[in-house]
Order: sequence, then C-alpha cells, then structure tokens
Amino acid sequence: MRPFLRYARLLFIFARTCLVRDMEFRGNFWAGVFTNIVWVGAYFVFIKIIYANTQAVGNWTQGQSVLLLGTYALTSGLVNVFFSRNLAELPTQIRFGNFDFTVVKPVNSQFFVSMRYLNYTEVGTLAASILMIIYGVILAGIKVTFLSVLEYLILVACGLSIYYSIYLILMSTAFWFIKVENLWTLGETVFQVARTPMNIYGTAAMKVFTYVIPLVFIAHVPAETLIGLERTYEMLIGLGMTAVFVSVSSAFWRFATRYYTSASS
Amino acid sequence: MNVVRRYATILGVFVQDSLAYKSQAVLWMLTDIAPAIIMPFVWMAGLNGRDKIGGYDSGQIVMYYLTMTFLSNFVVAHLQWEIAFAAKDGQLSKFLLYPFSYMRYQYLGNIAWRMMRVFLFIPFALLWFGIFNSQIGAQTLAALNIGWQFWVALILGHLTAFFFAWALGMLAFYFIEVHAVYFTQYMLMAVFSGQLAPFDLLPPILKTMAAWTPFRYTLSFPLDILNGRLAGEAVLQGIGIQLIWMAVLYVLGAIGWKYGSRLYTGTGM
Repeated sequence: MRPFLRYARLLFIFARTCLVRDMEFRGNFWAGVFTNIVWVGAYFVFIKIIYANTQAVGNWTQGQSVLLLGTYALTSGLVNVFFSRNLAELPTQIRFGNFDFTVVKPVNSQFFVSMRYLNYTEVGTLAASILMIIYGVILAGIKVTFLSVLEYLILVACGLSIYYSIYLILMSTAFWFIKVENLWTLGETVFQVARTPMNIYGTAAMKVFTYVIPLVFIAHVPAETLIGLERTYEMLIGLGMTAVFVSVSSAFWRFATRYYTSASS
Repeated sequence: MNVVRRYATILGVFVQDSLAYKSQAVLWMLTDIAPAIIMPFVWMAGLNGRDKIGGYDSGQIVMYYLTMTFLSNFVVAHLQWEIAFAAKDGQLSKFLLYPFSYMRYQYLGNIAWRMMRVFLFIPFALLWFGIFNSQIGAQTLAALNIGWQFWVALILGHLTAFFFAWALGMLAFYFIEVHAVYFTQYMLMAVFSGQLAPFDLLPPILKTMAAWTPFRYTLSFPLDILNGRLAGEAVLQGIGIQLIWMAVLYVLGAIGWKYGSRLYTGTGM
C-alpha cells in the first residue's frame, strides 16, 4: 500500500503544478478546450447526417451510436489527459539525451514518462463525452442499472489500459528508431475506427480487432454492455486482453530502456 | 519571358521542397484516407438490405468518398498556418523584401504541394479499389462526368479554397490567438465542403447552411458534377456563385493584407 500512496501523492503534485502552468496561459487554455470540443462535434454531426437517412447502421440505432461515440471520446479523452502529452515527448527526450533525467529519478521510469504532464485542455472532450453518453442513453431508451454501469466502467478502464499499452509500445520503439512521432499519428488514425460499430467490417475484421489489436474494448464492447447486448465471455476476454497488454507493454518498456545510449546528452 | 522564368524558378524550388517532405505528405494523406475508408462502411451498414440510401447505392457511396479524397488533395489549402507562423515569428520580413508578391509566392507553394499530393495519392487509390472492388463496377467508373464543366468547377474550387485560406491567414495580423479559429474552420469545412458526407445526404437545415458558405463551392460542388448529381442550369449557376465567392474572398484578402501588413512589426526574429 505504501508505494501506491507514494505514487498517488506524486500524481497529485504533478496535477497541481500542471494546473498552475496551464492557468498562466488562460487564452491558450480556453482555445484548446474549445477546439477539442469542436473535434468531437464533427463526428457527432456525421452521426446526425447518417441517421437523417436511415434508421439503423447494422444493428445500431442512433442513440446507441451516440453512446458509442461518447464512450470513444471518454476513453481517448482520458488517454489524452494523462498520457498523450508525455508519451509524445518520449522520442524527443531520447533524441536529445534528456531521458537521463528520468533515469536518475527515484521513481518508476514508466510512471514518470507516462504521467508527468497532465493535459487539462482535454476536460472539454471529457465534458462533451459525458453529455453524449447521457444523450445516447436517453435517446436509445436504455435502462441502466447499478450493475450495468459498473460493468461499463470496468470495460472503459480495460479500453483505456489497452489504448495506453499500445501507445507505450509504439513510442518505446524510439529507443531504436529515434524519430517515431509519426508512428503515433498513424496509430491514432487507425484508432479512429473504434468510434464506429466494429461489427460492420465483417467477422474477420472483428476477430482482428478483438484478439490482435483489441480496439473493440475502447468503445464497442463497453457501449454494448450498457445497452445490454454484451455477453459475459466478452467481459472475460476484455479483462484477459487487458492483463496481456499491460504486462507485455511494461515488459517491453523495461527491455527497451536497456537500449538507451544517452547519445547527444 | 522573364516573368515566366521567375515563376518557373520559384515553382521549381517549391517542387524540390515538397519532395523533401514526401514522408510527411504520405502521413497526412493517410490521416485523410482513413476516415474516407471508414465512412463508406458506415453508410453501407446503413443500407440494411435496401438498394439505396438517400439516392446513393453502395457503388456510388464508395465512389463519392474516393473522388472526394482524391480531389481534396488538389483543392484544400492549408497556407493560413504558414502565414500566421510567419507573421508571429518575424519570418515574414524576408518575404516583404522579396521583389515578388507574397500572395503569388504562397500560391506557387500551394500548387506544388497540391500536385505532389495528387501524384502520391495514386497508389492509395489502387489500395482503395482493392478494398472496395465488389462495390465499384465498370459502370460506376463510366458514370463519372468529366466534361468541361467539371474541370472549370474544379479549378475555380481550388482557387476559392486558396483565397479563403489566404484571407484566414490575414487574421493573424489582427488577432493574437488564431489557431482556435483555424481548427473550427476545419470542422465547418468537413461538414459543408462534402468531406463528411455528400451534399445530397445532408439534412435540409445543413444543406441550406452549406449553400450559403464558400465551402460548398470549393470541393462539394465540383464533386457533385463529377458524380453526376448536378447538370444543366444548376452547373452554370454554381460556377457563377464560385466566381462571386472568389471575388469576395480575393477582395477581403487584399484588404486584410493591405492594412494587416502595416500592423506587422517584425518581432520574434
């Protein structure tokens, strides 16, 4: 319990200093919040357009699709609040040898490179995502129970962990390839697929998105849980895939840091 | 002759410059192409056994997103970022000293990038045919209207987008924070220029709004001609509106430049 408390306290300190920092440039901060909301809005408009022309996409009604998009925005928003700004910096840290300062700190290096800077401008995305989730639930007439919300939150946590783990693995390759920022832009592009119902791409693609790159757990399966379509084994697969991805990415991180040469420091 | 040589030299420099950033260009193209692969799947899932959705069958939907992505490489301009950066950073001073108009300079830079993007897109188009080969038949290709109206509308759309981006760039002289405006502009552009969905499939209210924006006349209008959605008088009328938008945006940009460049202080160098 002690180490956990220590890291929780550290995270709290990071959160405080970042808030102070962000508040120094308030104009930029609000502009950032605003643009993040606008981006989420674009795909919401797409949903509105498509459902003006049809009743259902595959077996998904409009409310269900909005819930799906809200869930995607929630997961990716949380990833951006905690991890994106940090992991995106990793290749630069390695290139200039600044990673030295991470290595010498008496904290877990994976924790430090993943969560040092929090991005508060993403609160806009989070607020928009929660509104969309509520709107989607109402529109689809979903009966939520305590249990279904709990299951939903567990699966969102799974999606978040998987998303983060893939991000960490991709960025860790910087220890060998140095300039890998573009790799993440590519990753994010592929991840956009997770905001659409994933069963529309066919059964083969569904298998890939469940067992190889488990993007179904980012939004599809959590949304299904709340709707009441999810089957128990999907929950089990989600938990299993999360365990695999978290441990593999962590092991890969430890392996990769051994190749740090501290060049140009 | 001298003038031609001057333009050709600058264009040549830009072509080399754009070739130096090929990998960057491929990446940006992938971020454009991903949603345009995803969206046809969503529409096709929306068919639910019917033949058509809002007058589009699956082949036409697929073709719409392919042609949209292909043409947006040529039409959509992003030079406002570079202008804003130059105005904030003090880099603009260099261009003010050039014996060559900055607007024409930006235009040549834009066209060099556009051409390269069009060429680089060809392999992606083939990938596309691979993914959607069961939807695109020979008749879908043959149905494309590539008459003179299309080419005129395409070039005017390209110019409208250029003057729009230029006018947006001018905002950087007057306001400190323009990035939020630019990002918002991309969202409006996505909805109204046909990047999200074909004009025909927009709900009535969005359709009306789109018709009053220049976005409709950059990408979505030439696309509708190409995909056989517009013909006859509507085409000529649209070309007329394109000319009006071009003139309006050109004048706005020129005024913005005239007074804005006086506000420029050259700080940041």
